[in-house]
Amino acid sequence: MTYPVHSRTWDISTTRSLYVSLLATMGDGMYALLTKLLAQGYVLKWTSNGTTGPSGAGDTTNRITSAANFQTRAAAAAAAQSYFVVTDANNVQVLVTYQGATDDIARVSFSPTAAFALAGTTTHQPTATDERVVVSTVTLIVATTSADRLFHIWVSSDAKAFRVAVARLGVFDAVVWGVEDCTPAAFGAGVTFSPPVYGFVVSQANLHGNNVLSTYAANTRAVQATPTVASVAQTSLCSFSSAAYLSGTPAINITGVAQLQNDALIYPMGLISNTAGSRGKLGNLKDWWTFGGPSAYGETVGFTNQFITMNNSAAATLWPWNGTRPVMT
Amino acid sequence: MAYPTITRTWHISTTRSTYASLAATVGDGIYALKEALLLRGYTMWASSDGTTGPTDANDRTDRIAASTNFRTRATVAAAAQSWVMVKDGNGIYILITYQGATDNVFRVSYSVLGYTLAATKTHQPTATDERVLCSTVDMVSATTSGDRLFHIWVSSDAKAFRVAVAHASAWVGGMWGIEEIVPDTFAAAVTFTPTSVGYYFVVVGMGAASGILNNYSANAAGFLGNMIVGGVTYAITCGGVTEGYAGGSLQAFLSDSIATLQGDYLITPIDLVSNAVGAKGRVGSLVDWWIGGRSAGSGDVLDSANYIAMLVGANPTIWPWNGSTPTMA
Repeated sequence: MTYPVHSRTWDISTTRSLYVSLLATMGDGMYALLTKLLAQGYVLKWTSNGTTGPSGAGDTTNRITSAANFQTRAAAAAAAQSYFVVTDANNVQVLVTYQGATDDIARVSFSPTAAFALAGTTTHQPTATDERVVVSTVTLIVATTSADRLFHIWVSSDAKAFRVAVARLGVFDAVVWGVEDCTPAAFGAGVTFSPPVYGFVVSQANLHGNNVLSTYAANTRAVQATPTVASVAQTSLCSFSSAAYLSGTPAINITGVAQLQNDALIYPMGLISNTAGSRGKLGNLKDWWTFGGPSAYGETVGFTNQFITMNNSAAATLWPWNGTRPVMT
Repeated sequence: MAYPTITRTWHISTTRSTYASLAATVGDGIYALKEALLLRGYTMWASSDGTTGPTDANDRTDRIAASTNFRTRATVAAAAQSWVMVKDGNGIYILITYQGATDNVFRVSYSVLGYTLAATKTHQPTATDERVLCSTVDMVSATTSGDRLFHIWVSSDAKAFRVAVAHASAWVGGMWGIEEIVPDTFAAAVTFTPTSVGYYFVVVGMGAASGILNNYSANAAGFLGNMIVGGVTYAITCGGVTEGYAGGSLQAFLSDSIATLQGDYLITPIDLVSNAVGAKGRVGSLVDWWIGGRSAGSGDVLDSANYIAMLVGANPTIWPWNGSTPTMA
């Protein structure tokens, strides 16, 4: 069959974190992410290495110059912690801060109007009035204190999208997360969605079948966006959509080879909201699909490895891949 | 919101059958349908008034010259009965024959390759590739009182028709037709010519939750077609697909609420998928057939009566309408 065309030009990389500690693992992953983001055009806003933060709002010094600089974890916002804030090409600010109850947790959020402000003590977590917290209380790297992690990082060359997934011992584990823009839907009068950006976190258990199309669940299957309706910015808690058939997607119900296409079915995905005040369709995702073929973690699809399955179910979420064989362990 | 574009040029008419008997009602309806089809370019191919059939395979005489000519019902194929066969703009042979256990039942089928007359010409013709849309179910309501309103849609290109019946301000019987769709992209060994499907839905099946998005069920819901895969002709049975989530359609996701973002109720198109063994996959897209987001009453119309809801209840099928107020009783 004809495979879908990638909408974006992705820089897709894999960074191995040799296991030493969860703290070091988190440092390796977030340092790699920051480096990749900056390489593709994200602009550094602020950083804290947990000891020193910005001297003022204009201090864009990069203090995460090595993985060791992202190893100061705090359990609350008002405490010294490693963090970075970057601004994407949609002028959306993304904050990744090492804040959580345990070393395997970090906090990711974004401000669609680039409204982050430094705390009085600048090593503490910055805040924004329109902050949308993508993930904050769940493991990003698996709590198990052994084995290397492979940080797979997708960054769009237009600096408008990034994704993170972590593999360990041959499987994708924990959650996938990111902040990216979509192709906005047609809206009624008085509705805007600009920039059309959403943040997402999806746990492994929710990256297949009907689960990925189920309704919003904080920290496990959570997508957030901020459309404006009648001049009021909405906090839209969103779900993913796809072609629905028998309470699911055809890629779920017609698994394996579809003889009419001589391949497994692949359907695009959309973004929908049922939050009061912002119900409806937000847009179509770029480079997200549901896939009906048999899948294993990190299995590539297509002869040239241009797609990767993000779950091991018979109907996994499909993302773009970079043509190589994924390193999963 | 912007309503979907109506692709075909439809001629939509309503014929009242003043109640005299169920046989007279069926006669009125099929006569009206035949007249409407021939007016838009369907070709009279053969017919039987139950007393006289075609003299031979080349006899194109229209023996259903009045509704009284379509009142001879048989309970089986091998018995004298009224029937009419027309050929559509794609060369498909459509057979409607008054065959059923009771007067409110008749049989609708089609063949791509063509029918053969029975030895006794008033008997039901047969075809090796015949697809039977309906044969054992109520078509006009068994109630022996009350006028019926036959709403008939015929495309100006003679490649699509639809029939729905109203009685006492409600849709009754079933909704059925044969029409051309927009085919999907197929693998090399797959052909779908002509790209037409037939269907029958009981009235309650004309909603997203109740029928359209479900698998085919004979004499109840779903679409039928003929496809060739690897040189073998398959009788495909199809269900509908529209954008949705794990719990069903987008409209169900919004629980019949208005989509604030779009400023109106959502209307989404429908594709077909086949789950027939050997011929699974995407079949194509229906033309001028949508799922609506507003729970509908009987004969509800939308957008200056350019569209009509074909179900009383949530997530109805939406068809084109002719700008008038539908007569439902």
